[in-house]
Amino acid sequence: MLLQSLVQQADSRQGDTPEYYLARRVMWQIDLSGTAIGNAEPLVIDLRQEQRKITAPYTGRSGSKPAPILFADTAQFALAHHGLVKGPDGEKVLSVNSAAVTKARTRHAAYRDLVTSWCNDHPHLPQAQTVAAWLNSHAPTAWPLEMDKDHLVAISVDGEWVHDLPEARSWWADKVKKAKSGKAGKANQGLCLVCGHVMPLLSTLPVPIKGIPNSGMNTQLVCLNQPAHFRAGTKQLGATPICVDCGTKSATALNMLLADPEHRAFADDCAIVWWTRDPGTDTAMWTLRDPRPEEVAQLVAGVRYPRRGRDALAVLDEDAFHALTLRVNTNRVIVADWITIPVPELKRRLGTWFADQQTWDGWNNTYTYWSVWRLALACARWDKRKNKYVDTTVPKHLQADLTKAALHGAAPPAHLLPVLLQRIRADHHLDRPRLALLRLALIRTTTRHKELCVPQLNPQSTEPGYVCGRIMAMLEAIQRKAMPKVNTTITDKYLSTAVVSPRAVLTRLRIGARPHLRTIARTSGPAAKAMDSRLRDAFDLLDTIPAHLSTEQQALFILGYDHQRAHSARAAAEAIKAREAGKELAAEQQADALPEASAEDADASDNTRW
Amino acid sequence: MTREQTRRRGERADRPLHVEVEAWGPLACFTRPELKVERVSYPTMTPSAARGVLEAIFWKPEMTYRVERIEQLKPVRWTRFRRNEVNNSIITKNAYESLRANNGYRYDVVEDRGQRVTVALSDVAYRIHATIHATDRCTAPLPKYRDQFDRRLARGACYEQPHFGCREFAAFFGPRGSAEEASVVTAADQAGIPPIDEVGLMLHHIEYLPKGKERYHWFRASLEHGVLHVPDRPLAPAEVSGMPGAEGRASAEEVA
Repeated sequence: MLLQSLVQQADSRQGDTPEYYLARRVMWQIDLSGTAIGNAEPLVIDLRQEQRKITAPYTGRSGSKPAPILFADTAQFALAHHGLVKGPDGEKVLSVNSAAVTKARTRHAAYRDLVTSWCNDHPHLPQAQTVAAWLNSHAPTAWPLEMDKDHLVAISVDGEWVHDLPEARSWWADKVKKAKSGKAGKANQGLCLVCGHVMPLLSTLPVPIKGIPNSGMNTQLVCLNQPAHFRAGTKQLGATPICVDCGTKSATALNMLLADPEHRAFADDCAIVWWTRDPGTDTAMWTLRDPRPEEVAQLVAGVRYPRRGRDALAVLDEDAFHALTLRVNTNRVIVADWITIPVPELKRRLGTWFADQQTWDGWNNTYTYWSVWRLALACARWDKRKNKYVDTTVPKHLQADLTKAALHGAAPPAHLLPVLLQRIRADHHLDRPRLALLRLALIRTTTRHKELCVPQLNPQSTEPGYVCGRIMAMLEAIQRKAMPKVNTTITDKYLSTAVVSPRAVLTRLRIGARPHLRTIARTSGPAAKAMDSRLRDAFDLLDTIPAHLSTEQQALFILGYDHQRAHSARAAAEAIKAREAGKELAAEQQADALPEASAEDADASDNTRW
Repeated sequence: MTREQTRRRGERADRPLHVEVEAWGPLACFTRPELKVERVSYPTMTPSAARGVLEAIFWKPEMTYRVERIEQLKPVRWTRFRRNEVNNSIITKNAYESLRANNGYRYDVVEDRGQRVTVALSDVAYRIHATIHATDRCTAPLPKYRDQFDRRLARGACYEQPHFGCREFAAFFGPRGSAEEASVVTAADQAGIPPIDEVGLMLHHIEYLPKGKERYHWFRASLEHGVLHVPDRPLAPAEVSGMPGAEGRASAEEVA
């Protein structure tokens, strides 16, 4: 099914790349002059600075006698280059090793044979005559100084690439097909597993897959080369009949997708590619990488109409969405994950993904959403001095796992919650991506806390972790109100202990809050009263202050803490508005309003904290 | 034999010789032939795997099973893991002969490790519908075997533990309704199964030829509301001699 849809994809995007051609970085161009036949020196042009990829012939090769590639091959093949080695002064000099020289000679001979046979097949073509003349007259002995044996060399005549000629394309495609479809003389027709027709079968896939992280020179999508991989001793593609067309097309389509930034994403050692049956469909997949609030809001709104999604599922959907996660194991491609869903279902899943990680910014009264890589980064260690995450400490595969969770509508990995809590306790850093991850992990792994996993405050909840978190935020607000210029807040000091065992911390802090409340009462009695009663109400929600919190409750603690803070931030923003309008503040509002001193830079302070 | 017994037998012999088995388990991997090194499973059970389950419960040379359809009782859930395996196999002729030639041959597993990924199904449950057919050796009336099968099924008897694609993925089984009794399948599961899904070509059966050769037969599989209908006839067979790279299998006939 995977190969089938890749073949479909290749058919719908046909005409981009000729068969057995690939975008390659050509480093040297040998330009032959069409008019001056004979002994004129060819022009050697250095293309290394250009960093441009040119569509050139390619096929995978391996073994002790690798086959040459038409017109675009390494200097070792094209010019019998011996290769550079380190000289006595540390400079690179030409190798004089006899093995290297022999190797270069035999490979060049094979290349010469290949090109000559092409020239012989096209005797009337002026380019073929030029190339043949060059090959005959030219015994390569001198190379440009910087050239090495692995540099790609391509040939042009009067500035036109020879490999771009239609004669060269068809000849090369035939050549590769013949070489790759089993041994000659045997009947190698059979039922193709992909298209289901009786066709000439391949013995190995002709096009290697390029562009997966850590992939090698000759990475194959289907690769059977060890006895344990065979079926009843049948080697290579023997027990996996794939016809020449399907094999080429599927690998070419995959290469095209991997090269197209609109259709692929990288996460750690994985590459994720996606496509739709109808190439014109917009999948909104980019939102995972770069979510724009207004378009994500649309996706989230779509989730509110679940009927539409279900109706779309009920009909046989013409337009399906495919996503493929690929990894590499030495030279084999691993299909780590593979989904096919209707496009409306994809949009629904993306919508749920964003609804589940929504956080509320109380200060600006907006909802925020994060990209997958940003969420994964939030699980890394926070470097206080540099004020950023240390990106090498992101848990392995997390980004890929989160993408997988988004596409499948499934839970993120189970280790996420403990790792994240450990990080929060260790570096006392709380920001929106971390909260978004906490919400996501809680919503998707349990069904118990649905009513708490809303993005805003739930003042009725009696969940012990949540209430303790709210109390912590209130106590911090009291301290801040009483001592606006405080350097180290109680959160900085006690958060990591309070998250695990709130009883020890909260009882002490409550006693400590009394003098603060008296300080507040000196400037504004009603505010102190409101704060005190609010704190008492919160304590009343608890039967007892819990001595220990489980992982889940710890996550709720953080959520409660944040919800309370976001709630106060909103109230403070409104209080500022009211004060600007010249209104009298009520006791509640006075309690929430920021102290006069910090009101001016309140906006900035809120932003830096997050 | 009383008249009553004879009458009951006569009635039962008229019944179509249909058998039904429910099988479930925590893991399953019905490997796709195109992605079999880094294994990826089909989303549903293949007919050859279903036949394996039936034959593990009851096998007689006098009869064969024809799998008619396979119902999927739970929605598809994927899981993946890596395992350390070995690269060599004694199934190839070369390996077998080098073993025979060299008495002191020692195989170092650690030296020959290969790591392979399996993308498998988790939490699966299927209901297999099959019919019993007589072979040339059959002399007794067929209902005999059907009844034997049903008795063994009700008792939970099997020659070996049935499995889902790999020996490690054990399958538990019972007659119709037993999956629900074992609370493996719930009403919610049925709702989660998507209506139609193309699966691609699937192995119908393997034909075993003389000298250890094999011929594979395929059919186009699709799931309709979680039901895989298996046609009687597969697509036109692949040429067995035409398989590129066929090395031949070390079979009993060849070695002897």
